[in-house]
Amino acid sequence: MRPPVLRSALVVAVLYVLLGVLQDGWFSPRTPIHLLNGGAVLGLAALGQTFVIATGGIDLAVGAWIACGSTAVAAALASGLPLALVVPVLVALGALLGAVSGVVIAVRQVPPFLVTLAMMLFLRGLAGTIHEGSLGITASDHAALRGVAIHLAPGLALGPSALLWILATCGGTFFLARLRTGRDLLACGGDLRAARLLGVPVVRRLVLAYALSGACAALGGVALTLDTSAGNPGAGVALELDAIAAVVIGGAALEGGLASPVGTALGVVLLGMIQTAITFDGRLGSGWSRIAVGALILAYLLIQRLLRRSTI
Amino acid sequence: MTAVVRNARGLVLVAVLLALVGVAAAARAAGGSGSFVGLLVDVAIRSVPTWLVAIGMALVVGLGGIDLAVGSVMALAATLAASAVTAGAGFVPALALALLVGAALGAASGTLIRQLGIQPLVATLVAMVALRGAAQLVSGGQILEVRDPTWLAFGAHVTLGMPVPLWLALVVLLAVAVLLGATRFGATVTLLGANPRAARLLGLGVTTGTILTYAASGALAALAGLVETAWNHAADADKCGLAIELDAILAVVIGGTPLRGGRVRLGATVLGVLVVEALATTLTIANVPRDAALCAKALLVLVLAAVVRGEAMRP
Repeated sequence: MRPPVLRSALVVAVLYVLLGVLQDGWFSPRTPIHLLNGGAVLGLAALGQTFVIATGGIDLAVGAWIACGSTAVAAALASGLPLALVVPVLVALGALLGAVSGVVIAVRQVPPFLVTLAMMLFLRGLAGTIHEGSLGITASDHAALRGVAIHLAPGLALGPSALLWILATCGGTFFLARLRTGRDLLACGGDLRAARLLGVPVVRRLVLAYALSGACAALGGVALTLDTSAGNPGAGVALELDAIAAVVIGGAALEGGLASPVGTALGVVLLGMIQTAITFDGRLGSGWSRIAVGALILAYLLIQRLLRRSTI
Repeated sequence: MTAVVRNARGLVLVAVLLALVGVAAAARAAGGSGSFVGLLVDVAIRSVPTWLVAIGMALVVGLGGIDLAVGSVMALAATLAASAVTAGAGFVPALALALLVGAALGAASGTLIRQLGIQPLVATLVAMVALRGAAQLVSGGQILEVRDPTWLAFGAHVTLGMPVPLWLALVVLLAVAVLLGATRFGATVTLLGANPRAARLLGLGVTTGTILTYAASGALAALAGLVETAWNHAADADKCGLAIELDAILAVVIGGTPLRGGRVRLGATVLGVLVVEALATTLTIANVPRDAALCAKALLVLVLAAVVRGEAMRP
């Protein structure tokens, strides 16, 4: 079975046109660039979430990684460490802590939500312990990385975080669809027992999925520092729900076995459009966007269920 | 064998509780005044919101589900009741409103889960985020001050020799214990957790049972929100009930209720709540910052989860 990426693309296209009809100035080349630049942080977290949901699990710690990762980068740079050292170490730490969650989940058979909920609160606490409140970054190597961009037209450029997101999504797609190891993840989610009987090293693959999620989310923290030039221990609150929403909108099944990084990226773009439309409008507060995302997930799951029922 | 294990677990819980309070008492003694018994009562009063939420959580877990929305239901119920009281309604209508909203939201989660087949985790996670947003809309970004004397009595007012919140918690505990042990509803909850197919074949009200259980969890969370508000003299949409779902799940797990459902251990859950609260009190007295305390608590959950497993916890 393949995830219905085409359907997600169609939904994104329809909503894009709809919003363009409703709002002046939407059909400018600025809008898609804005969506890509603004979606990178969530996009990286949601990419990691895709690997976990492929195995039928869930990772609630991705939002806290954005907070903890960005704060750690800011604090490490403030203490004079070079960026070329900080980023690899942070991503490795993300993978390591993700792997710890994965081990507890796969070896000790504890429900994923419980382990990753604990990891989420641990990382939130850690972020606040590293630094209370937002911490600006003035390091020159960081500023140099922020300057990296692809200039498409005057005033239109894909920033470094968007490039990071696009590269990671390409890599993730290749991994999940083409590499044996990646397909093993989907097999674990499709039917864990069958996967084990077919010789898939189930425990190692589950640990890998959570490690990848931790690494991607930590990279999301780096992307946040590139976007805002600061680390913020209060960032990414409830971002895990947005990430799950993006994966579901991308055509993945929460039961596992069906997931696509490209679909997830489309989901992130769709959430970004809703967010942009709500801020464009100006009358609706952030409380409303939370409610909208919640309603969207439920609607998608219900439609998915109805479609599945009608095909059986 | 199980009885021995259960008793041993109970003893361990009491020992841990006493040890933690002992440490806290020592810490306070080092700083000046404070007695052991006084601290114990303090821990008990502080634990009431978690206590109420954990009882609801134990029911939902017994059913084989989970309710992550409890903290947000607390915030929404508290802000709604505070706005109602500010607008001139009495405490009783405000209380009724809060309980009704809590129960209705819980019932909505239960319906999504049982009727529409959405995973409990996802349904209540959506509710957790959306309802926190709704609470922020109700409060309009303000912290709503509460001056109503009847409401504030739920904070720490003493009646008949005991603080009102403790009376409330004990009455709720007894009522739920009776409901669970002596009614058809109780049998439905535990059998649904143990073997949903058998429950359906026996003709127990599977759908009604599920919806009622989540409704009970919602109503108890609403009550907890009012108690926490009375304690703080204000309803804060951002902070009320934040991360309480972790405390409640932790208490349920420490109490030995299996996360896959089928059994509810109310008394042990309450002991678990007291252990969690004693830990928090100890950390506070030892001047551990809030964020570091959160780290410690999360680590405890991870270690417990890794150690307990097996019969007690299976996905």
